[in-house]
Amino acid sequence: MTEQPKPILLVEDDPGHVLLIEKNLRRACVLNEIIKLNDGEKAVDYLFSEGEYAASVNPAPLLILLDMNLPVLSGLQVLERIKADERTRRIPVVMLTTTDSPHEIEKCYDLGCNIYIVKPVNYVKFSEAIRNLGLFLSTVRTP
Amino acid sequence: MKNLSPNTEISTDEQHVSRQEQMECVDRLFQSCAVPTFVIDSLHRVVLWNKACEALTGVNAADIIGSDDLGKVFYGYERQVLADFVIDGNIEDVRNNYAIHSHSLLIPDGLQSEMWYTDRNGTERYIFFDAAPIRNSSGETIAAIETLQDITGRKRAEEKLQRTAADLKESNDDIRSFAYIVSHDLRAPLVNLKGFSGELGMALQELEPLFEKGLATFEGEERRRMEELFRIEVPEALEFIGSSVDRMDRLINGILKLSRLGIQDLKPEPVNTADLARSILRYLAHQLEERNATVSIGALPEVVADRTAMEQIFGNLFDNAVKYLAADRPGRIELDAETTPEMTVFHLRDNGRGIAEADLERIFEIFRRAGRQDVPGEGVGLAYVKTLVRRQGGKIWCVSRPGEGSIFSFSIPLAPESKESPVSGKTTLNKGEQK
Repeated sequence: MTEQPKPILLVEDDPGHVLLIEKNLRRACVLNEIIKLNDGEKAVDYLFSEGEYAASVNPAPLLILLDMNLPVLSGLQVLERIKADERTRRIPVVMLTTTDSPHEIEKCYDLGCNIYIVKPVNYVKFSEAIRNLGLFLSTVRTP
Repeated sequence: MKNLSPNTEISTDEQHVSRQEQMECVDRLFQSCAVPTFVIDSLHRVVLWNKACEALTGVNAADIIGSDDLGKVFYGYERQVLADFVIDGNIEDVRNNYAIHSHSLLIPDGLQSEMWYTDRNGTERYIFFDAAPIRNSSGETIAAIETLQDITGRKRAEEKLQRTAADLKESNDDIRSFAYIVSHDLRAPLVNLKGFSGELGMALQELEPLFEKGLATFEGEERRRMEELFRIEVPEALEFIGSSVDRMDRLINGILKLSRLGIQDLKPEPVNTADLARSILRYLAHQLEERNATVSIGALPEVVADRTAMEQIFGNLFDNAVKYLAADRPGRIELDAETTPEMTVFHLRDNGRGIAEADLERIFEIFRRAGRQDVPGEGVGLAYVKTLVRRQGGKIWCVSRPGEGSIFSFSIPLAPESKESPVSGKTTLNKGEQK
């Protein structure tokens, strides 16, 4: 029996960005299920089976795509929780943001994020960034 | 007039008379002093209370001499005045009684303080008061003298200044965070605009073969119109959306960069501006050659300034000078500096196209560009330069003649000014207890 591929957790509150990211992941042949959450608290609840996810045991995601500016809990707060917890700290986290502020980038890396992607308005670059991510994922999936 | 010095030898015979005279003399001196002043003896009793003190407090000397209860006069309840602490020699205890207090800068063991005081007419006055010991020849404190000065006007002006400074700081912070938030939040929808117009473009590409097939079933005007829509109008609309989004993105990045300049820390250090200017010119060598331009650099001093900021200032100004050289003559750019006791002023002269007088004011504003728009740019360079110069305590200005050239000048103060100017130069014994 083949193991079910792990899902990708996408935490992003802009529905347009969600759709664009998903389209580009699919275009890059990433077939994993994409779980979409639109605020930081839901992400924490999902990962640690708290709040509205208290009753369910969720599969640990292969990867977390985490937007910086999220309602309720910010991306940084979520990142901090993920990296502080033994259960989740090894999950690769990709921070997505609209700013290339060196200060914010530094903060993300300090908190242990693995990759930091500035959402470029340049569509080609944006697709490339997401596709490269897909490529990286397929590499990860290869046994 | 007899000498008032306590060291003066006085014969026993004359002692009584001369002491009487001395006291009268002291009293006259004391009464004519324009600063409200009183003296208490070692038992805290008022022994002297001058006219100015009467005027300030509305209390006559006759009613207060001999009283040891000055707190009532000044505060309406029993409370030690500054002179009482001086008499008791427990000047450190003053900190528990006076929020603002310090040692006198002029008299050893003197104390000074300030506070609001309501006089008999109910008028609020801000009083600066100080007390100092009066000692006998063996050094024992036998009395204390206290002066009171009404500095209400100064205090009000200071408060107003503080309020204005605080307001200004707040609105500056608002502008900064506003620019930052706007730039952040405006980029998110842009990602969508650009992203989905890209998606539409890709959808069109995918549609192309289907369209080709479908087109065959149409004829005449319908066919022409469909082709026009699919091949011209839709791609054209997408292109306009795309280029506008790109432009918007550049503008937002401009605001973002400017707002970051406003918050980044400047580290003043000695900067050799001659070396700095030469290193910038190396980057511009190619462009200078292309424009057939020569640059001369005069004697440039060392300044104390933020190195990166200075690089950006010179870089942007040189870049502009080269960009806007006139096409019809060899370019000439000169940089020199003059030093006054307060500041260094740099001048960058060019023989470029110049700037119309009406535009001179606006060229330092963000997104404003003067003259023919034939050189690429977003109109942010001079806004950065102005911000960087201003943050270092300097000024920037431009003198120009259209068709002849421009001189951009900016100043850098010799001593970099501290960012937060101290509100008061006074040293207090214990800051934590200020109200």
